[in-house]
Amino acid sequence: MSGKPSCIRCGRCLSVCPLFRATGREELAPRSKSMLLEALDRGYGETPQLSAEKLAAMCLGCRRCLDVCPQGVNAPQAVAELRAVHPDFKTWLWKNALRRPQALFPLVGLAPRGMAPKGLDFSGLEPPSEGPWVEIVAASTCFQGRKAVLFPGCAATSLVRRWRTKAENLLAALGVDLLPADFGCCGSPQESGGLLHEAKASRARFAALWRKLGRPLVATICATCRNGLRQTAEELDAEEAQALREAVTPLSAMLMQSQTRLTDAAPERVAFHKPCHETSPADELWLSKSLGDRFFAPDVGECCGFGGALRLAEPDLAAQVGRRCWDSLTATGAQTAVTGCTACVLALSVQAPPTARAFHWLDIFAQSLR
Amino acid sequence: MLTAEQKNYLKDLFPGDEAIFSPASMLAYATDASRILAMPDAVVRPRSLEQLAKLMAWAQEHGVPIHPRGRGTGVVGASLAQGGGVVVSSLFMNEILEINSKDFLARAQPGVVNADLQAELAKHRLFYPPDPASAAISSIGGNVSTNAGGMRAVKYGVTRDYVLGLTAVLPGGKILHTGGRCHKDVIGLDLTSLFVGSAGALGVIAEITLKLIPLPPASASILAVYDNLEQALDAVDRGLSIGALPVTLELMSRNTLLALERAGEVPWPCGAQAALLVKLDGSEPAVEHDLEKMHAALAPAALLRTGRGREETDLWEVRRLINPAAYKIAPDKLSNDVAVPRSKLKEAIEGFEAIGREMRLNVLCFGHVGDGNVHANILHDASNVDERRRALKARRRILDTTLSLEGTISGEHGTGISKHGFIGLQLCEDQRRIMADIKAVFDPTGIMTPGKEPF
Repeated sequence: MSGKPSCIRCGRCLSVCPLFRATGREELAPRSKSMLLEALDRGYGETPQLSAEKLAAMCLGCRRCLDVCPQGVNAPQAVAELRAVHPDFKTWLWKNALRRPQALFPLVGLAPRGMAPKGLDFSGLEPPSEGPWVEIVAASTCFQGRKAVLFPGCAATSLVRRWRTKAENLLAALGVDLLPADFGCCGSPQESGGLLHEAKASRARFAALWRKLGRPLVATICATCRNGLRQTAEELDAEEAQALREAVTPLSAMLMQSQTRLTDAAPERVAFHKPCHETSPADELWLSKSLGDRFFAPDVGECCGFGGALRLAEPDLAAQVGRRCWDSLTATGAQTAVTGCTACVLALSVQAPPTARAFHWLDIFAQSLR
Repeated sequence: MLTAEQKNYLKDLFPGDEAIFSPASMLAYATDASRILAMPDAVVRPRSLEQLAKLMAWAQEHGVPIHPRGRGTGVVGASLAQGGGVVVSSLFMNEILEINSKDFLARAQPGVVNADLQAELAKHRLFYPPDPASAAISSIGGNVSTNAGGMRAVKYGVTRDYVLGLTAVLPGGKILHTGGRCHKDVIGLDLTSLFVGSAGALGVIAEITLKLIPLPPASASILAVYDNLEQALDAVDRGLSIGALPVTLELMSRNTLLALERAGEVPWPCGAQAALLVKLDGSEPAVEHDLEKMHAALAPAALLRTGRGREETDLWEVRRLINPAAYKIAPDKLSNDVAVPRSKLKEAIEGFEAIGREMRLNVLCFGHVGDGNVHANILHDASNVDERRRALKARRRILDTTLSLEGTISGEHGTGISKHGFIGLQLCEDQRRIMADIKAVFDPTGIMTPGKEPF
């Protein structure tokens, strides 16, 4: 048996697909996408090309189905490839990005020159107005003197620059030898949007710069970026790939041994949102350690519904997924959520119930050591 | 084919995304784990009993076939609209309506997922035992329609043993309530049981009342690996004689172990010839006591490994992956889920393996040997005409062998589309006529699942 894995229609993906779980619509599940893509390949007679393509492209790109598929079918990848070959997709993507810019948050920073949208409303992304919830009393000394770079990602580079500043301050407190670097995109948002060549170019650029800098530690503040950077390793030889995987480190992991204390501003309950693309437990452990018994994780981690291109094409669908996510977060009794993915922060913020708020974890920490 | 007028009626009755007519969207509903393709004329997703009643009145008046569907995880195509008609998805009716720890019952809409119900019940320390291999993904409605079995059947029985009552909508629109909230009830004929396992032939199930039991506080499992199949089957006999029934007693033959080895990490040494997975539950002292006895009964074995907690879950996850793992051996399979009296197990499995050898095919034998239910899946490449012909011939021989051992051609999957043609091997004409007459009382014009009746 060889060749591309094929769907056996077992239905295991139905239980993890956020789109299906939020809507109960089988046509949105990965199993359906596999059928549609096979039908399109064969030129399936009864399935009109356009509606099939449109339906097949409805994917949040969360990759949860990959974890449960016994055949290893990569539906999100197939959807990205479909988007990539669609002749009008790039035009459509940017046109819609301009019309509803918040929807494509990290992609905005990547827009072709002169097309970056103006007047974005990021008022929902302010840090807690009551002040920071946690202070770092003594920073970890484990990374003192280590050469490191910060991979801020598109959002912290172009839109919420205080995340970058905060991360740089924390790295300084850790005593690392911080090298200057201008990395650009991790490739993930481009890939899910069907911009496969652009994604590959971004990752090649990252790898080249990382190599040139002498393969330093790469501190990251976004789960999706981490995922994208680790995929860079697939293009490298085995030794370098391993070195890169080890180098890409959550900033939270570097802070883990630091001593912290809660401030009077800290809420009684804080819910942790685990991003779909998260592969490291570091953010969750760091926040659990820092927030103590005020930290809560939902029984079932739901997708925020950010979904990149899907949010443009089907905002109502993405919003349904987001509501389900907030339901699971507020079921913990918390009205505030923290997470470690820049796209999730935006999706959660714009969809928050009236009394609820969402923050990147960087925003709940004091700016500098006391 | 539906007329424009008929489609308009459905659009009015099922507004927005409750009705689907586009082929691209309906493709998802045109298949299930059987991999048969049958495109419906429409898919509707009712949210209320009233909508269902109107649909069923309209369908009978217009002679439109109705095909109830849960999560589409069945392996015989029972939910597919072969010959056209309307697929009725239960997935918008997915509320747990009641969990009552005093009456030991739960009421659920048909679209509730088995595992989601189990998780909610566990919070109340309650237990609904039936657990088909698809429990994480299949719906209670589908489980009831197919009288789903599962691995816990050895000790706890099958779905039918836990359905106290239900609400069904009959062709013509009549709403029928059967059974009730009592765990004992001898009044009237047992209409509830008639619906369980009827595969949608009598009406559309809209609500189900399930019997619950206390959640056993402790469990433990043992993986026992043997040098040959005979040793494993001898151990089955000993394991069933310890004075307490295990929850589950599963066998995996050499070919099954091989398929799993190819699919990923396995907890046995590569090259093992046969294995048993045994689960015990109850109070902690009872489990400890039974564990010791079961250990002794399963010995001697090449490997005996006990799992508790997380390790126990991992042992069982492997078992649930057998069906998908089969595709690592060959691209197609003919699934058989025959059952024989326990005393005929050895004869049956050795017979099935011999048929595989004679027909030069890989026959995967595994399953719930604790209750005599054996899955004998014939792996093959359907694009090879000769191989396909041999596979079909092998299936017929497996079914004949089963019936000669006083067995049944299906212990839990049902017949659907793929096995409908074999029902006559097991049921006589009188039985089938009486069953057809009973169906006609519920469905006089024959709109429910035509061509897939389980008789």
